[in-house]
Amino acid sequence: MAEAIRPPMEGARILIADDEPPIRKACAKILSEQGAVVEVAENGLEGLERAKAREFDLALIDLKMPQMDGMELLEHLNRLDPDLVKIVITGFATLETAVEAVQRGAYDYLSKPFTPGELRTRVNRGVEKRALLREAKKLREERERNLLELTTEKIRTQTIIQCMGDGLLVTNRDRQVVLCNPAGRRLLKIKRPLQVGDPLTSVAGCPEFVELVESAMNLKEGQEMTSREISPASPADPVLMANCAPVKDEKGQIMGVVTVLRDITSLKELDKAKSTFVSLVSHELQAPLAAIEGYLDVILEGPGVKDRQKVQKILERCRERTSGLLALIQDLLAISRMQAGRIVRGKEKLQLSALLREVSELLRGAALERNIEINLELAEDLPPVSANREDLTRVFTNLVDNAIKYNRPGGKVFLRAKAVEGFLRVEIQDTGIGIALPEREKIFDEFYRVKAKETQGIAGTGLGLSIAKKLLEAHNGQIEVESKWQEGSTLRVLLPL
Amino acid sequence: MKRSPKILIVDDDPDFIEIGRLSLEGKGYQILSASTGREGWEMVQKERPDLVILDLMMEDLDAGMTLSHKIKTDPRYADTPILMLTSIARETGMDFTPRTEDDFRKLKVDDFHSKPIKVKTLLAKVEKLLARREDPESG
Repeated sequence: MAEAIRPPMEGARILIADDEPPIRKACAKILSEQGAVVEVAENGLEGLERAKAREFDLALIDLKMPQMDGMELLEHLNRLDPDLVKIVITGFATLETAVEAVQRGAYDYLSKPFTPGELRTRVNRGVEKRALLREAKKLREERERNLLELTTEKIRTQTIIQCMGDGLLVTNRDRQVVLCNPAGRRLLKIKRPLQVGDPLTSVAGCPEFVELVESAMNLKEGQEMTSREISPASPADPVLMANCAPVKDEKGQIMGVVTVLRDITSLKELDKAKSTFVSLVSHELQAPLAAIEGYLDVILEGPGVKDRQKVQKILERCRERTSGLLALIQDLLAISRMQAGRIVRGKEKLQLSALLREVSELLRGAALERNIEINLELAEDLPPVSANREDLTRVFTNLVDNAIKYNRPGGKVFLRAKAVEGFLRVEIQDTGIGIALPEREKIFDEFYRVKAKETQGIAGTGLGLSIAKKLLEAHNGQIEVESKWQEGSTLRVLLPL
Repeated sequence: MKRSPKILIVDDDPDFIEIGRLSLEGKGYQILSASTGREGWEMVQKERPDLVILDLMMEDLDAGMTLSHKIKTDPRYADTPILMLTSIARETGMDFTPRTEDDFRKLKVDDFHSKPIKVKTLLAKVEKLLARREDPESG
């Protein structure tokens, strides 16, 4: 009810343009009494000036004025503010002029003479009209702003969908595709341009996918989504994980299905690599244990082994295989420590020449047993490398140990170290059996061991080189091999200075 | 007196050869060994063993299969029983384990066991295969 108490004209800004002072004054007085803020002009020109200077809600315009008449002012004001309410005052109460004025944008007209009551009524109505116009304008502007925001939001969502790494596919109730982002097209191997309404069966390469979307359309109460791994049609295609969720309308009716596709190929590959590794490890652990068990069976159950010396030989072989097994487990532990994404800790400034001397000293006994000579050719004043002492000792022990083991009796091992172009280069050269070309790439693989007559009976886990390679890579270093079958091999290690 | 049967073990695992030799020699068999399929074939021709114990995977993935095929398709040795041993089924996913008579025929072997094999099992299988050879009607 507050609206009713407040007069409509309260605070309304009203312009009165009339060349007759008594009318001007009377009108101004009556309207001011109603709470309006009034300005007056003696002619059309002055009226226009005032209208340009500030905004009015309503203008009372006498049609007959000097300098610029009411009709002309009317037109100027139309251009200035189309929502300004204009009421014309006319002395010749002819229908024609009134109609013309309305055609030119006037809202109403007053014929002279008029009573204060008539004036109040007309102006009140005019001011109300103005309020409505303002309100409509506000709403119009608001709507435009909302539309703009909506468009911006739509564009933003579209951009997100377009550049998502996961594939997005939306299908409707009729199993037609309504949206598919670039990732979705890539993952589903869709080459041709998609049309909204293409049937899902023509887009999805495999029946599994169609089944999944179908099951999402028929989810039980309480289930929100369904997912499945989609195996590739050909081995070159990615393995996909598809998550499907139904889209419902406000009544809970299923309108379609949103499917998010993720490429899980690399995860599957990792998983497979892990299984292969576990299987290889199991085999490597089984072999020595099976041998030991076999020997024990022979002694405990076998009929013929009464010979004390034979038993001794068997037990020695069992011990050999046991130590091999322990060495393997140590190597496996070393690998598991490295695979846990370990960063090299405890780096220190290492003098490699000292470390290499220690390693060769450590293995001198094993070399002597096979009558192998270790030659050190270490450059003077080698710059120190920043590395973990334990890691590099393991690397070079593995490499020199190999150079001794895979050598011929009476052979030689050369250990060279030199600084070259920002790297420290260490070479371990042997005069052994060498590595044939097809095997050269594989020697750094886990458990890979060269099978040949010459390597039979050489103990090893098949992990030494792969551990060396991993440790060096963790130090930003690298290892490469050069070899000639039956002449020997050179392993070259580069460590950044 | 009957001569003791000659058994050829073809395997690239020296421990397996040694265990086989020790346990079978104790039973009075005469043991020969070879560590590759090629050596094995030379031995078969030279020594004409009464039984061959054969590892499937040696220098090549199917070295054992190649050798068993050679033996079984050569009329001179075709009746030599073959015991095939392997551990590859699990690691490679290639399951060669024969299950039917037809599988055995295709593999050209008389018996099959996966590695590791218990000494007791090995002795039992060898005895059975040799008995069958002496009295083919019972096989």
